[in-house]
Amino acid sequence: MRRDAGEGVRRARRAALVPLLGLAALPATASAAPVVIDGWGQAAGAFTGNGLAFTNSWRVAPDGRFVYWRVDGYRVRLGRSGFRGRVDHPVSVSTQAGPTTRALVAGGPGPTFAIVASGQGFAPPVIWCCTTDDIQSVLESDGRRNAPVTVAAAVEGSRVRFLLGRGASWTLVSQTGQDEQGETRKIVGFPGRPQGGAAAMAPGLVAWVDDPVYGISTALRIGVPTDTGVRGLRLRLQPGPVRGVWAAPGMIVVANLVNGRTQLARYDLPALRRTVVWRGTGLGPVAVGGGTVAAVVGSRVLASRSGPLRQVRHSAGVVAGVAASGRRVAVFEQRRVKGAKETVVRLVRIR
Amino acid sequence: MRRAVLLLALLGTIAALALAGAAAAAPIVALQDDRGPVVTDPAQRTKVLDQLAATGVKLTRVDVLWDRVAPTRPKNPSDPGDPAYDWSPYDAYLSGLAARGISAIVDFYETPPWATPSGDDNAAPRAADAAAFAAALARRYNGTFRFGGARLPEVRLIEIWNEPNIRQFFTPQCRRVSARGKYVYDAPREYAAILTASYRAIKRVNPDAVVIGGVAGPAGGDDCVSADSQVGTATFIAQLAREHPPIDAWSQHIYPIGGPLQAFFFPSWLTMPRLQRLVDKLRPGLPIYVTETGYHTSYNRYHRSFVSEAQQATYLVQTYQVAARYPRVQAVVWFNFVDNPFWTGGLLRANGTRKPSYAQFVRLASGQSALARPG
Repeated sequence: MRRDAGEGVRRARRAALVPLLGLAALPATASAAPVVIDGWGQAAGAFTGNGLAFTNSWRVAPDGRFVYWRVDGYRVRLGRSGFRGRVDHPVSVSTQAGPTTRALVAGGPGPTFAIVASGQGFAPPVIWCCTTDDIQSVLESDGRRNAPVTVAAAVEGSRVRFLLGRGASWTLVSQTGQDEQGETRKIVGFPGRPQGGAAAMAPGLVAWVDDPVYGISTALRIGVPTDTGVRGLRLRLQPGPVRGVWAAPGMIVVANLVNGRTQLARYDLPALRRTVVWRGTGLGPVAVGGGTVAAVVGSRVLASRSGPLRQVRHSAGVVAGVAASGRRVAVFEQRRVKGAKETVVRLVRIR
Repeated sequence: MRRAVLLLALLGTIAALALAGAAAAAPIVALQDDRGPVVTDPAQRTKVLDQLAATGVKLTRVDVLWDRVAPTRPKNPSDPGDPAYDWSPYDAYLSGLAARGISAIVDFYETPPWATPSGDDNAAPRAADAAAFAAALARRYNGTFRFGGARLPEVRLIEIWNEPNIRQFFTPQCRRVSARGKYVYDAPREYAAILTASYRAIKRVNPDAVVIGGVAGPAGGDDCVSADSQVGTATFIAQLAREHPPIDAWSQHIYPIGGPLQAFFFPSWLTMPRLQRLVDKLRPGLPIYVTETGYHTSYNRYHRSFVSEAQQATYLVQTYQVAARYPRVQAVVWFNFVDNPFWTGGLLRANGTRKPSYAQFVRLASGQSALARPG
């Protein structure tokens, strides 16, 4: 039932418009031709060792006769000047169990990545893509009602770690090796009860805020995940309720609600120095990677490698997601062409 | 007057057909347990058989893996007693089924390494080799064959291969015919040869056997651009019909995205009339067996569409209800009984606990009258 690779995907025939006028002062330059996929949804992405992996979580109503939901996972290689080669479509999750929501995407070495195909009404499958033979490994998939849910994941070389649980029972799962290639799985207890959406993992890093019924909801906890448990736990009190946590090697970003406004702050390791990078309302998707923070506010994309976020792109349509790594930011924009809904993936280079 | 007589005769025929339709039995509620032939421990096998019998099912499906039965080339391949053959798991499982009053549809696939140059188990075999194995299979389970002092059970329903229109089970699907990269369908022609040879070989040893062809996987679209492409069900049937293979019944696998009363992609339950028209090209009125259907309750790499456990239970009931609308559908096999990491459409979870669908299946299997076809 797998959709053929490349289905629903095409490269834009025309080059991206270079935003020269009025943007000269902005710390960004436009990249080469974008990638276009069919449909509008909630997009997420992560840069991998040699490309960009991204997902589109969307509602499908064939001929309006019934509804199901999908999470489609794509990857495309990157060259010096932008996207290179064809877009691959190795993951496609379809369900009627409930609406899919923005997936979690974790980049790995080479073209590999992991997806947590999140949604409402079902425990999200965790998919590791792919072996050298292009076979995906399903690390977690549980159809039981009240099955444990995965809230964070990271690819560490040839291992995927993810945080799995529900209620009072949480575990840290580590799988080395993909299916049928001598995989080993280690499961250890996790010293917390993460709030939904307020947990994140990166290679060598886990950060979360506990559910208020268990711990202090304004205390960010940070540790190093290992096969024997979480080591080196540290705690950083937050100025207000936590609305989101993101992690990348060497950094954590937290969104707090302070006096009715959202405050986005980054913590840089090892000292965990806190820097507020943005304050305001209407915060949309956030991404971190390679020392860069990127965020969507309305139709604006903001990013910075250090210090306050600055506008790097203004979109004519809805920005459905963002991904970041060093000087590169991927922006997922929705547009309509001759009535058809499309998501355009643009690569923006920041200074 | 002559017109009136003709009209009366026509009305009589219509009335007779309507009565026949009203009296027709609902499709058999069947269930496959792919653990069955794999289990080697006798106590475990007994447990597996008892679990299946407890559902009330009277028909199951058994995959005979040719490469496991014949790891080396038999000297006399149509003789089921050839020492190269090891039928022991199937003898035990089929006997256990018969002892519990459960009949079986048997299919065979997975090409032994000796039967193909590539050694791949999904490589299309020579038709003569496949037919010889089919003959051995049919003869061993024709109800009179004795082994170890015991008479082995009869299997009348024999499927030729499994999903020959899908690369995972049958290659090549397409064949390159020009240096410029043009490909043509190959699997239907190759499969027709296997079906034809197997049909004749089976009928020679058991004329009562019902030879079921197609066993088509639920491929919708065609994409004949490489040897690895798949052949959509509609194309597969049309191409197969050109070869005029002998066939007693068509087998189709159906795994819809969307409920049985929702999905309108081909092949699905709502497109059964189209399937019937297509298989009429093979032989008008050909009976149909749906030897695999189901809904998965979690994602797995072989089946990327899933529903909740509650939806699975609802869709299971709807599956048998919608199947009952089509008198040509003889049986509907739910696949599979128990979940495993690569297939999560079971009635039981991998840990053996029951999903909500289990109770619904038992209700249907034990009370077939609830599925009486509409009159």
